[in-house]
Amino acid sequence: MLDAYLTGSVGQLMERARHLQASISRQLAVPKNLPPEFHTLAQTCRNEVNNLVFDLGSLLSDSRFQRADLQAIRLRAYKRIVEELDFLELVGVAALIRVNEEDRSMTKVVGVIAEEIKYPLIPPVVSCQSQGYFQAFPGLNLLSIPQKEVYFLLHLPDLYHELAHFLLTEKNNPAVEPFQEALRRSIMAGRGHVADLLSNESRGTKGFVNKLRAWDANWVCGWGIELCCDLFAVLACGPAFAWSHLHLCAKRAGDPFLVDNAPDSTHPSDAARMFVMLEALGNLEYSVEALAIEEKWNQLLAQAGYAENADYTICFPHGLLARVASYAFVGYQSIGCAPSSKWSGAKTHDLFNEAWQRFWSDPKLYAEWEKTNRVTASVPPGL
Amino acid sequence: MSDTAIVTGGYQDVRDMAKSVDRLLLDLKSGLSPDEVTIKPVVELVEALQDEKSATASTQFLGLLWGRRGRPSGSRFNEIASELREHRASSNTVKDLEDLAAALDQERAEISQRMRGV
Repeated sequence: MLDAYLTGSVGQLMERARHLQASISRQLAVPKNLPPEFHTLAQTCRNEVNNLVFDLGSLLSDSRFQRADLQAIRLRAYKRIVEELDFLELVGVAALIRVNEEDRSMTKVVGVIAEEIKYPLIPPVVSCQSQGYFQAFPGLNLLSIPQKEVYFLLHLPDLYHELAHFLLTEKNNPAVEPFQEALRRSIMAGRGHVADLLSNESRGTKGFVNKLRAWDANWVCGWGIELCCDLFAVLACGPAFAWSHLHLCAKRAGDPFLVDNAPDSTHPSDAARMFVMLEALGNLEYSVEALAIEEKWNQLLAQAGYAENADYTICFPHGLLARVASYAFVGYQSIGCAPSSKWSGAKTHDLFNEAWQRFWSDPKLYAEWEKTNRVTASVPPGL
Repeated sequence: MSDTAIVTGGYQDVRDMAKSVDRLLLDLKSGLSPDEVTIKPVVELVEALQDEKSATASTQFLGLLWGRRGRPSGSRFNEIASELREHRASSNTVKDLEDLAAALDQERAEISQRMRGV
């Protein structure tokens, strides 16, 4: 069955891959459709599609795949290829076939940010067609953000958080290893804390043990990564990033003290995230700003009726979170990125921080001020 | 800040290791002697998991996945690595690698589902 099925399906997938190649080439043929900064993404997609075509061919031509006992391996390989082709079509090629002025502007803005913070990798290109929130696609060096974000400032500090995802997934690059080491130490600290809880038999009910096992997995699968990306962002962008976290929580999030007990949770509690951000701000000599953010944060929690619960207190003790913040601080310094400072003189950094100062100093006038202070104005002419 | 950012990074690790393990299994089960390039990534994973505390975040993630299918014990890791390095993989080692391949495939399917938002 599988042989006949793959013969038919592989032929169809090869045709689909050829369509993708043709779409990319049509864009390349019209320079105004695809500016030079998107050529690397185009070439990456082209190479990936060609690799997949080769792999598809192997499913039919590799004589080992005729053996009955190797069909499970063959089917797994086929599924991986299908998925990679889908991903290229839905993310990479989709970004390429509709590059617009907003994409170009935001790509330039991210380039400026990378320069300001001495980012040690090639900055990603930006596509303004995210159907969710900010999304990083490290394999394609692509960042996707909501369509109209370019016209607003308050969420843009999240760009720094996304840039950190590229650092953490980078392979074989000593220039970024100190920050990856900060992630490893953070995960080990989190897992060590969970192991200590597990060894305490007085808490050993079955439900509690299962919860602890989920927390252990979550430190590995996402919590450590998210906290380190938050810390990178606050170390690079300063108070504006913590404000943007408050903004996001006020607009969209639920209980910030909720500890996700599902074994595939990717995000730690929002309160834990805010705690590490405030710690990092203290390390950067932003103590006054940290106090102001904390005050507003506590007011938000009180007005919304949120309060710390037992799971949160056990899962995210302040000592543990402070250690994570200190690991990231050391890692950030060691990769040579420029720390946020009130006197940095970095235009984009300063604009994001000024936006939040203006937001709070005169909320009524903020929207008008923002209209005449676009982030794209921080891009030097000719870039 | 999105889930996708997380799962995309994780997806690459899962996909790359799944390819490596299947390539190795394809050779081993066909009776061929895998070359060093084929053996290396799997041996590196197994060796790194012997001392998980010093392992990278990515390796810990893969170790966790393997654990969902009954990950081998610490001493078995040592045996698997030795057998692979010496080109004498036993049926037990092949079985352990098949468990790893199945765990990676299951995770691939779950990540894919999350990325699609269904």
